Amino acid sequence: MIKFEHVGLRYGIGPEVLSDVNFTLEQGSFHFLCGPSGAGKSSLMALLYLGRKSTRGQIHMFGKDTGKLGRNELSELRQKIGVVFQDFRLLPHLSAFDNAALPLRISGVSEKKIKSHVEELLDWVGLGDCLKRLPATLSGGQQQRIAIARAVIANPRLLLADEPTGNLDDEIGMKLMGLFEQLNKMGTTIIIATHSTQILDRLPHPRLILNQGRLEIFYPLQKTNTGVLHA
Amino acid sequence: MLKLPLHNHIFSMNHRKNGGYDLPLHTRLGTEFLVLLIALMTYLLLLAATGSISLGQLSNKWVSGLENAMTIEIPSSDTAKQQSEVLLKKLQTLPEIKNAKIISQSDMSDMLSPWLGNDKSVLDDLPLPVLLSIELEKRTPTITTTIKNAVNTITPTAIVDSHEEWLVDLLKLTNGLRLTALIIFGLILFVTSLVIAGAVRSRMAMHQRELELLHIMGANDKYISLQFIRYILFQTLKGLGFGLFIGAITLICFALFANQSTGTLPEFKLVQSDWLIFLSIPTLLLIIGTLTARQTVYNVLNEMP
Repeated sequence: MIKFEHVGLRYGIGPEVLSDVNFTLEQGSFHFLCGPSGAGKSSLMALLYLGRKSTRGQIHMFGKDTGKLGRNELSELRQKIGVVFQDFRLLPHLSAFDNAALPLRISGVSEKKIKSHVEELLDWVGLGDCLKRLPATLSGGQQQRIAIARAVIANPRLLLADEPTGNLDDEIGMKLMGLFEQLNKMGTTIIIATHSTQILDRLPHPRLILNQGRLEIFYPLQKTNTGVLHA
Repeated sequence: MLKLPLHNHIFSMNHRKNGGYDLPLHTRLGTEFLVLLIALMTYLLLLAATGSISLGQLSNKWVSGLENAMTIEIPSSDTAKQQSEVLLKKLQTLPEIKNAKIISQSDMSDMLSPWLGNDKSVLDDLPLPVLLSIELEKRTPTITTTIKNAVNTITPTAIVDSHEEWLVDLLKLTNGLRLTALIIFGLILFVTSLVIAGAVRSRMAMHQRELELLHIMGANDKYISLQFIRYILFQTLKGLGFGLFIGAITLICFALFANQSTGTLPEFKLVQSDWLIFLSIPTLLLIIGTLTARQTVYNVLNEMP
């Protein structure tokens, strides 16, 4: 459902930050995106959330060639993608409730439904008593949870997260990873960019490894109940 | 997306905090300047419209006095008086003529008094022509020709003054001035449009990050443009309020001044069509504000992927 064919990206007349990237991700898959700083993770994420156009190659998402879509069709496609940014990118003038409600408002969902969904989700991430608070009055961890709530509120088909647990303590971090697992079981494709060895060790999902603009897929060995390792 | 009607999206978001904007458009950031400029433009539009209406009324007053009037001048001679009476009888038989009369010696004296003084005996020594004043039901080329033919038959030396040259020149002048007022009106609207486009562009530049975020989350151009349209509509309404208030005070003062005139100026009185012109000002500004905001947002968003 997500297919990159010979995709390249460069900014202006600079060198290619992504070169000849090829991969296919099935609907409902779960991948980690790894790689050193400057490897092109953010650029790849930007291509995945349709925030940039590739300078070469083809990107197919949900069965559509994104290069051939009109502006409105691209907007509709973006509504199926949830993104958690490393710097949260919450709107500072909106309350926690309104930030989390944004994707639903963009999709034209009624205010009644928005109220029940948002309150339920924010309660679930432990922010039920912070609905009216502005992001500036919340801790980094709380802001991150709002960002995650905003990304998942509209049941996206693809969820992209850039270091989603970076500011969270282990317990909440693992709880949120549990949420991602749950969404994945419901059919959402998940790609998480992370450096966290704790998460990578605990969750043996395939890894998209970027190095100097080139991508490889690595399938980690998994432990079975009998203690045997297999790919 | 946007399953609700347009007006719902523009006017029904007030129940949310921050004025219902996803973008921080409720913050001031130069809003006063935009409101002030729109108020100024509204005021100038009112002045231009008032100028055009006043010129129209002035030209109507002048034209209506000359439009249906003609004067026949029979040069002084022994038979001039007799000829004028024959001509008067002939003219009075024409149905298109509402009134025809020979201007009396007393009226002539009054007309010439600024030059000759009030001594009426002076007139007896002057070879004054006999003047016939004609008031027409309605000026048509046919009646003008009929009168000229009648005059040629009875008094070939008489001069028919139909005031057409005066009328044409006067109408040219007033129409030219009204056209100028109209051009000024259009220019003000154009400048208003530029001001609004600049305000929207600067707001979009200020909130680039927020715009990008909405864009990434799937907000289409229409969704984003509606936020700016709403913002511009409210600022335009505020500016209109100020501009119309100051404009109304100026108009009242102008009407009071014009209505104190001794008769040279027409009484400043608004008829239905004049009110329509005034009503068109807020309507045009709101339409221009909406269209400009929409187009500017679309142009800027078009630069995003």
